[in-house]
Amino acid sequence: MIWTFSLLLAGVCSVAAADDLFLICHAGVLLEAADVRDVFLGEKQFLNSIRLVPADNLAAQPAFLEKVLKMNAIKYAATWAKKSFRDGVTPPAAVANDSAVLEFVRLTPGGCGYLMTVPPREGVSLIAKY
Amino acid sequence: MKRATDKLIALQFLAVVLPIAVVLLVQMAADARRAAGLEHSRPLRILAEEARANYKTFTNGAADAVDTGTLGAQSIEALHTTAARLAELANRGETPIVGDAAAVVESLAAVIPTGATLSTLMPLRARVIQGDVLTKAVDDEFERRDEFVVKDAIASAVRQKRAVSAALIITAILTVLFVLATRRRLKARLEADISKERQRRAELETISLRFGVATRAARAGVYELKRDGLDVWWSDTMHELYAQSPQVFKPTMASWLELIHPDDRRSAQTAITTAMSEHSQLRSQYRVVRPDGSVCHIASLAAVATDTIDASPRLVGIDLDITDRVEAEERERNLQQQLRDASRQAGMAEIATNVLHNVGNVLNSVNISASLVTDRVKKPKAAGLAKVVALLKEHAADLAAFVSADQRGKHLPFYLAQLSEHLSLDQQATLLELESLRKNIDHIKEIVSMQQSYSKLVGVPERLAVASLVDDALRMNVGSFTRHGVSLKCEFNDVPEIVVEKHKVLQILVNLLRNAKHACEASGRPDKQVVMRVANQANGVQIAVTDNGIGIQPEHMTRIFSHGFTTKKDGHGFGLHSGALAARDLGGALRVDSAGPGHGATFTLELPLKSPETVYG
Repeated sequence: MIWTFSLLLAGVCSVAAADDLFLICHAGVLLEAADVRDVFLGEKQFLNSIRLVPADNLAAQPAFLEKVLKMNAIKYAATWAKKSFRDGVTPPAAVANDSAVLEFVRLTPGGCGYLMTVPPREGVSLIAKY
Repeated sequence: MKRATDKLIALQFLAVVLPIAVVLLVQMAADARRAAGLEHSRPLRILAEEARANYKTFTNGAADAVDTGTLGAQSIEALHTTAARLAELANRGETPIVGDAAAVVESLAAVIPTGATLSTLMPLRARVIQGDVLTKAVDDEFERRDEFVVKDAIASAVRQKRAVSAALIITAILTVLFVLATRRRLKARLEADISKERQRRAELETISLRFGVATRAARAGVYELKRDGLDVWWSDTMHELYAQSPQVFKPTMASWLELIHPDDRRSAQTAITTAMSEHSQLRSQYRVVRPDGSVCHIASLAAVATDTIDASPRLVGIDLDITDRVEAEERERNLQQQLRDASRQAGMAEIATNVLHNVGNVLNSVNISASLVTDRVKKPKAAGLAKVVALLKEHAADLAAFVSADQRGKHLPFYLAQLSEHLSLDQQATLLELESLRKNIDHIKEIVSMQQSYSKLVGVPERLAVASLVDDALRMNVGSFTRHGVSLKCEFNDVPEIVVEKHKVLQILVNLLRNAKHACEASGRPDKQVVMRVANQANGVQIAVTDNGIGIQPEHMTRIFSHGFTTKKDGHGFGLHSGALAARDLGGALRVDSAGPGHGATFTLELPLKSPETVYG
């Protein structure tokens, strides 16, 4: 029974992790949750003196666009196309999955990304959970 | 004073102008530098701004193309303009700043056609962004540079402003300092001038006072004549000199001449007119007849000066009362005449003394010779001959028997022979004495003759052997030496003949020998001796008479040849004096040496080989 409960809990947790998005930044970068949209649309590029480098998790992008940016992928691409033409800003780098995002954020000062799984405590800062 | 003031003004001017001029020059240089900087920087910045603005037009167009689907013509044109502006910047030598921007933009312009769609643009997005970054960097760099130039210009202007302020302050300070210094200096100079002026006035007053005192003390009057004597000015002392009251007597040329002695008036007037016409000095002497009838002798000295006001000549002079001097000169003339008379008489007396002395010396020898002759004549040899004559007369009848048989007759021939011999000897001795007498008398004659030379007669030098001269002198004194027991010694060297006046030398030597004999006599010593030495000397001979008599006291050595000096009781002080004078006349000298009292003395007569031609008078 205990084994059964544990599996159930793990399944619940696992389901919950599959629905949630976790926004992380490089260790020490304490970004406000309210600024996440601006960061990923190129409106906020610096936090204090740290240049923010956002990365899109291709695996979680649809959920992120829906939950956080409240737009679809076409709109997001058009926005960034205009932004890049108008302001010369480069759109976020596209990263394949959570582990790649995690590695990118860990290694890039000012790096920001989102995961579908609960991020580890070491090397990153958990900014928000959606 | 004026020169110093001008110098001060010039210094003040420099103090004001120099700082301003320096600041202006610096300002002009800074302005030029700023203008050049701005002129270079501003067009470049404008080009960079235009490039940037055009590129932004292009990117905005590209962004709009996201919505519209195509790139507008204006955007592509802006892209080309951007490329052109960047190329121009590169052409102006700004390649280091422009860098890759020109190439990136140019390549974009080359690949993006007019009316390009979003699908064309999207693949070029990275290059568009690169172009954006590069054009922004170029624009920023030129903006930064331009801002630097502008900031530098502003800073320079601020510095300039400060410098101008400082210069103005310095100028103001210097001006104040110079004004104060000038004021102080001018004040000091003014005070010094005033002090000098006071001093000059005081000196002038002192000089005037001294002048008044001096002219009064010197009894000198000062006068001035102008306009050929029409204007005459006299000092107070001039009035005193002429015994005229300044209140009553108004000096004019005519009234002045009236006061001058009639005999001197013409010469006085001539002297004044000549000095005025010829502008020469005036020196005249005349007499003035005073109102009381007394006569005053005046010496007038004047010079012609040009008047500083009207340039006319004026005679400025002084009149000196020389009455005392004229009278003193008159008295002096009388005294001089008296002195000449007295001197003539004294000279005559000296000549007489000289003659008497020298004649007296020779007369001693004459006297001795005469005494000897007399003694010989008085000797009874003639009486013996008379006795022989009487015996012969007595035995005239038997003369043969008397001579052969009589005892007295037998001795008679022998006696006669002896008598004859004695008479012959006496005759010879008498003849010698008579010859000596003749020579002495001849010497006396020469002495007299020589003294007459003082009355313009000229002596006759003759060539003589020195030994002969000394012999003659010795002979004149030998008797006296023998009588007084004075031995005589002669030491003659070979000396040449000399040309001298014989009797002058004899006179000197006789005097010296007589003095030597007296010195020996006075010493009282038994070995009285006189030595005569004849020796050569440079260009002449010397005859020395040395005695071992009483000697000469040192204090007498300098006076021994003075007229009237003697140490003998019966001396006249003339022998050595006349001897020294005679030696000098002969071109020689008479010297004396003595080791002191009791050590004898040596008188040395130095004679040249040839005496100078002797001219008396």
